[in-house]
Amino acid sequence: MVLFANAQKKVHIELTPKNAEIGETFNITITSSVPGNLNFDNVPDLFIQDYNVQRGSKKSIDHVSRTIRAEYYYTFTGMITKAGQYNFGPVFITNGNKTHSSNKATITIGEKVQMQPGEVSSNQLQDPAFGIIQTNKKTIYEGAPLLVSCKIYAQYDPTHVGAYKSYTVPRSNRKHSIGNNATTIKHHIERFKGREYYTFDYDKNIIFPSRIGTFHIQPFSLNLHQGYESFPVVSGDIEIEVLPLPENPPSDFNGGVGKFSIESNLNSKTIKQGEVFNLKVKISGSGNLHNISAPELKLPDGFTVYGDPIINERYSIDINGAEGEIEYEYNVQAKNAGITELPETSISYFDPNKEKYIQSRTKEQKLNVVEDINFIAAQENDKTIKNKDLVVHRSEIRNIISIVKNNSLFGTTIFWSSLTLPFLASFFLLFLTKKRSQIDENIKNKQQRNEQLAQLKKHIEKAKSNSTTGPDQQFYPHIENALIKAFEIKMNRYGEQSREKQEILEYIDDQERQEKIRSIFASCDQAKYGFSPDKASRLETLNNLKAVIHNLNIIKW
Amino acid sequence: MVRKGLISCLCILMSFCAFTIDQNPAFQKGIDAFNKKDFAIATNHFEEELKNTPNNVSAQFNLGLSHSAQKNYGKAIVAFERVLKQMPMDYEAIDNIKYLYEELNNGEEWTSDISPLQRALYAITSTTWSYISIILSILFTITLHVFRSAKNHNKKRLSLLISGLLIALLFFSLYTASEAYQYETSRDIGIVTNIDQSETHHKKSDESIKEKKLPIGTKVKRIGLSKGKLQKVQTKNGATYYIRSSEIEFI
Repeated sequence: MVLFANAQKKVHIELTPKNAEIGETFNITITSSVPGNLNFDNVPDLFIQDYNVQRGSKKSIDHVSRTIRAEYYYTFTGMITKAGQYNFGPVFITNGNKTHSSNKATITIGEKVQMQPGEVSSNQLQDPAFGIIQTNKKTIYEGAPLLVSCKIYAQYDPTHVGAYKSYTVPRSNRKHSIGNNATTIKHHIERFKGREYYTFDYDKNIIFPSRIGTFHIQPFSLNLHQGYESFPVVSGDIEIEVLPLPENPPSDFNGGVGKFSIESNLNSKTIKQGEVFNLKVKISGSGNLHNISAPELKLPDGFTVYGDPIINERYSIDINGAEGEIEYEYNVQAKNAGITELPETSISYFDPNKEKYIQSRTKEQKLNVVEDINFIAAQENDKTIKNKDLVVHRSEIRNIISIVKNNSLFGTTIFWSSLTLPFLASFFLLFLTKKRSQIDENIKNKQQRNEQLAQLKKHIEKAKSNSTTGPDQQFYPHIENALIKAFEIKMNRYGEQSREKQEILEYIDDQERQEKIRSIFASCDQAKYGFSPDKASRLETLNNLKAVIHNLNIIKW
Repeated sequence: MVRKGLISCLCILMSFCAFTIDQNPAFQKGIDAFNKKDFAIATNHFEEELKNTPNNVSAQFNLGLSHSAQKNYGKAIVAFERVLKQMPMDYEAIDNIKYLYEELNNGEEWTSDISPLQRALYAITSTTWSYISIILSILFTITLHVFRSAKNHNKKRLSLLISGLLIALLFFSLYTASEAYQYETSRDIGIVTNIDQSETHHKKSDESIKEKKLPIGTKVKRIGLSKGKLQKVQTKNGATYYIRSSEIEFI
């Protein structure tokens, strides 16, 4: 589009951005389809041109005419130090006897945006140079543009910047550069915290924070040179609070945050029935213009919008955010004849200055749709075409019945029973095994007890039979064995080694019985070592044993 | 004996086939009507078939195709979503849903409620996961017994390791069975199928109700019980609406 315009005009001048602030560097680009001498004198008096001039040429193929076209360009940079509107051009290219003139271009220079500096530490103030990050606001609404730049203060006269590492913002946010970040710098003297510094702004960007909450800008670093000498500068960081937009936005809210207006335009006020006309809706303003969505058309019955609108974007990013216009071109078919009033189209946007949603609407427009008999006939024909002939299937119909069981086993009694049954069975089995081993042990103990009892009885019987007649060796060992056996049975100790006398004595609490047991053991020991007690003593020993065993209550004497 | 068994099995199978064909005449009629491009008739037959056999996934799929052919996109989406509910790995149904949203072209697009891994796990069905859980519980108790009775130290250690693995698998399968069961049985997700006759109500506050239309195909979640003809729902961006029960079909 631009190329086409240039081809007609031959010489074209363009300013970017179209809005700048006092002292901000802007670009002037002159393109020409003819070579020659450039006359760049028609510039405002207050324009201060940089030394930075670029010139060159590029070739492109015109696919329509199949010719190679050369384009010559010149780029100048400069600034203006007073607010106002300034015209540039026309400029002239002289080629031989012919002089080609360009269009005029305008730039609006606004007052310098008041920036709010970040924190400066006392240590930084003692350095020969220091830098801060500054923003135009500390609190903004989501979607609103945020102007960020570096500001460098130096106690010496700096010449240029080196090893610059820009401040960083959260990943999802893009920085839109504003102005010219040349390594050479234009500084001025400014008083800060009671001291005079050489100071200058650097790396100015517009950012559109996309998330609400705290927006963190990480520090920048650079080497500030004075000739070959340099001092490293590292700034502090800065935090911006991003506020959410108020709740319950209007239904026609298009995501715009800033200041916008809407207008519409018809390419023809009278059309034939069935014809497609062109409805252009233009949204212009500044803010987050690049992020807004297309307005929703409200058309009466009989109007059909074909396809998505063609979007023509004409905006640039400047200190006010994305500024310019976006044009939505809708192709609409009018099917009903008659004079129709096209309803207004509205958008709502959020104005951060007024802190409320504002609605902007187009004017209603009249459209005369002239009846067309041919179109009516064609419409009738269309109606006769059955819908079925227009149907496109993405899948084949399924001929085979596929039935999925709906009754899930999960959660049913059967499921929980089946799941817990192995555990229950396991515990039951464990219990049974334990019980069985216990019974076996009891039987074994009982058998051993019976055997012990039989042995005890045998010892008692033998002791009884030998109490009056037999030798001591056939009486006392039986008495001793009977006593020990009786205690083994009482203490449930089967198959173990014989009890010690002391253990047996300790088992008995009763003093009298202890004496009796001691007496029995003493008699037995006497007999063992050959000091035969008399016959009466045998009877006493037997009675003592009887008394002890009776007290133990294990057998009937 | 074996021969007798085989013959009886064959007889049962044949009678089952005859039963399915006899019991699904509406399904066949639906296919015939669809092939003749009488989509409205096909829709009626498939709906009738689903009344008799609600778990006939093929009828549900064909119903989606019939609705789609008649440009009843909302209802077609519901039918394909129901197919997905029963067969989560039916990618043909997913493709159809995506296509329908493209056709609707109202800013809505299909988003899956579950991740691809969940889709694969739920496709195994809660019943299968239940059986797996039961088998794992049996195996777990067996390995516990092996552990208890093992006298060899290495054998004890191995059985303990296997028991640990089995109990972890058991909990995983139980959890998956529960999630799959919830996915299969929940009826909380709905699709807006019709907005031509009525409007959707956006509850701004308790006193005032603001009218706002939700586009066809909007996926909403039922929150709370219905109040008369109105159903409280929530869209995926968290906005809460009251919507007429006649405008929405739950999957």
